[in-house]
Amino acid sequence: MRSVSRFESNLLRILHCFLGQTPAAHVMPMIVRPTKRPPCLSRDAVALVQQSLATGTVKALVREGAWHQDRYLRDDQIRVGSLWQRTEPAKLGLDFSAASLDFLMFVTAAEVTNDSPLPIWAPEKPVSLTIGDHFLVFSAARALRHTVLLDEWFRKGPLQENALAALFLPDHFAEVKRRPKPNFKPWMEGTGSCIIEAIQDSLANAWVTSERKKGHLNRTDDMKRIGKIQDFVLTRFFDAAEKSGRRDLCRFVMQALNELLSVRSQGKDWIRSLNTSGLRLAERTEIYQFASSLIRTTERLQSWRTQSQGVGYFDEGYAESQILKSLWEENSMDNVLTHADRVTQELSF
Amino acid sequence: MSRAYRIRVSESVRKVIRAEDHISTQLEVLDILPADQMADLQAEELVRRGFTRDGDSVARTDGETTITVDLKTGTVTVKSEKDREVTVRGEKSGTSYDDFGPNAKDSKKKLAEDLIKELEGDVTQRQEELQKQITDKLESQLADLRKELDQAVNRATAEALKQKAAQLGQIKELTEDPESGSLTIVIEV
Repeated sequence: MRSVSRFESNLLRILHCFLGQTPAAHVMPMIVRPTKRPPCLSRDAVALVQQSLATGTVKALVREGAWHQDRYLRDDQIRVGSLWQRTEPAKLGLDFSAASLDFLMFVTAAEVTNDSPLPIWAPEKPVSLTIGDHFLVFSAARALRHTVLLDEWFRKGPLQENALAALFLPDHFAEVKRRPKPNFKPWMEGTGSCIIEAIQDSLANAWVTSERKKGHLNRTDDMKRIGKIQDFVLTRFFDAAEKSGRRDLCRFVMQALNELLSVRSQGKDWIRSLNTSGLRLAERTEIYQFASSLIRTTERLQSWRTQSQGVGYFDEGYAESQILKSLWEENSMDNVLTHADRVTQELSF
Repeated sequence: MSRAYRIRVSESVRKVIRAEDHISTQLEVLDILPADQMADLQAEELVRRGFTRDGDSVARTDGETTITVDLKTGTVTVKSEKDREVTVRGEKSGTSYDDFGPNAKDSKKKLAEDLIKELEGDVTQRQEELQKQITDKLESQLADLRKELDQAVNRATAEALKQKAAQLGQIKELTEDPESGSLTIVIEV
């Protein structure tokens, strides 16, 4: 039997919310109400945090899709199965540093009021966050994505350099003045890439939602901001995937495009509510280009497909090319391309 | 007893207003023959339609609109621009507590500045009207232009197919339907 203080109990409940076990509404009162931060946590509390992270992250990733029987690359070979079948469980461990505890303590203690600026988490000493730390901060972002806290964290705080958050919530980065530079390299190898594999379905859904929201945007400035950041994030992700030989991790883009583009799709679906009166044609063209930022990734995907068709059995990257070809078929990308061409034509003059 | 004097100023603003708009698009040219040969066929077809060749591009000017085609990349740029000199004049009345002296001068100066601001507002409005004119005109020209360029591309493609067919073997039969744009080539290999 372990006993914890009120602060530690709140911290654990907030952690469970971040790991998807409790709705955000249940813990928001704890987050906004200031609580005196203790100098450290008790041994019992730390043990419970460790246990929650150990079991909670596994449950969270399994819920996302780690259990799917999928094909992904491992050491230039195609491996089929669930995540723990593609990679031995012993190699799936996530490290969480003291920064994770510090972050949780900050969130629990912080005071959130309408009268004062929102507090921003900044570790006392500069610290290099582990993949586990990044995943925790990302999970917090997802849990709190409908709150004003998130916007502030994107503008100034820990999410600016969080590549997962940039990939999952690019719209929120659109508001940031100083453009973040997400580093996708750590997410192309080891446990980082395993996390990306597990959350493919969620990523696809996030991008579909983001694209559908464009049809409700009224201001051209908003469309421009969102389109620009989408372009930026996807280009960096694609570049990292191509450089690391992990273009299989771009599956979610093909899934999203397959869902968005059909015979019923029309260019005006993306710009239905946009007020372009008074704009020159040149400005309208630019705005429409930003509206179609995700659709235009089909050009790069098509070039990858063409490239992969020329890779022979004994050539480097054969396994990657095989996966790309099978992803192309699974997501009916030939049809998607046809619809994408039609929609981009409709969005041009 | 203080009196208010009526003051009047008149000003004029002369400016050259400029409006410009442009769009770019891409010609879809199939690689039937090597790129430079396709570019030459494209150029020939466009020259027949009034374009002038200058190295790797062809251009045509219709009034305020210039159409430029980059033969290497297939990029079509349509640009419309117009300048106009406008002169706007106006008068403005106000009051001053002096009819001469530094105070009167200041009042007149302020009134003149206000008038100039209003006139510049008029100039801006005229600039916006000119811009709308240019944009609307450009937009109205695009449909016909697209049709014309598509026809040019089709003709260049047909010519390329004929040349390619001649390279593959002997052309036994060649049927072209200008209405539907279809081309049937029978070759003996």
